[in-house]
Amino acid sequence: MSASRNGEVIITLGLNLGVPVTPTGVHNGEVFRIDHDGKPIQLTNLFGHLGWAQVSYDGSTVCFGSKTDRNAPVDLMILDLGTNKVSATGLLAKIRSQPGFTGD
Amino acid sequence: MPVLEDFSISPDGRIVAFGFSHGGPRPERGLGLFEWRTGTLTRIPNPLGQILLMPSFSYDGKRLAVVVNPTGSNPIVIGIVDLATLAVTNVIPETSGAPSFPVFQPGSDRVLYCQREFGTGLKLVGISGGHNVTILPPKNGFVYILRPSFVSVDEILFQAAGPADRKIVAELDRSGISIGADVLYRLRFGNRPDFCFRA
Repeated sequence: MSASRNGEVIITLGLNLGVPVTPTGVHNGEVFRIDHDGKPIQLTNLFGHLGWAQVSYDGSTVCFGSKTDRNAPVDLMILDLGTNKVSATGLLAKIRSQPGFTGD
Repeated sequence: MPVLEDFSISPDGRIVAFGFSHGGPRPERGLGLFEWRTGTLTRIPNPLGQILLMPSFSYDGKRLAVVVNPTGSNPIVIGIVDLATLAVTNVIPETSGAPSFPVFQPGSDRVLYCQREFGTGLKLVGISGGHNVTILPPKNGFVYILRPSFVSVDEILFQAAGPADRKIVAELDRSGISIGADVLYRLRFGNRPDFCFRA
């Protein structure tokens, strides 16, 4: 859970409202905005494994971690709350090749 | 294979601070900054013999509150990273228990953090050497509290599980919610935690 200035935007993670769990038992995670009555509004359709969602103080942007399956590494995603567009950042690939992060 | 964790976004949404770790012959763990629109990546150097964790931006975007985890037997403390110089200043020289999830209080020079000590509570500490103020005693707190968010100078929202407060436990029980479930709480300083939303 994360809140922007004065709690105007509250962001949390939860399960997809349509298909929360696959027939094989895999949980489908999504990003949600919680409205002022406490009702969750699903913002994404990623069917992913998500974590660490944080909204910026100005309420414009959400960052979160996502992986394509349980065994994949987490990468950084960005959700623009103005457009509801989700962008992959490629952070994981970038730190793999940067010496200050690899210890090489 | 590197592992990413503990994302925190700057007040204007431009920069993400993150934790990373990887094994291998030369294992590394620490923090980085990523300007996601430009791809600019910056490593925040760990102070000698210490590992930085759990970053959170100040409201002007110029500092990070972090956990400073020693590799030896020294206590875990809260630190402040100046993003102009990447220098780290420790603000709690001695503390019992394990501090976690430090966040700046808006409009002040204080940091709120979770304190685990036979339960998890909340404390405020002044960055410029002020004394600790207990907001929620650990014995009256929760099994765990995740990173809180301020919604005013003296009010926070947080997700937590395992409340010690019997009134909260009874309300969870009446609602059919497991005591171990993550629930969203609101806490105005000086009061008891309450559910963030009520049906």
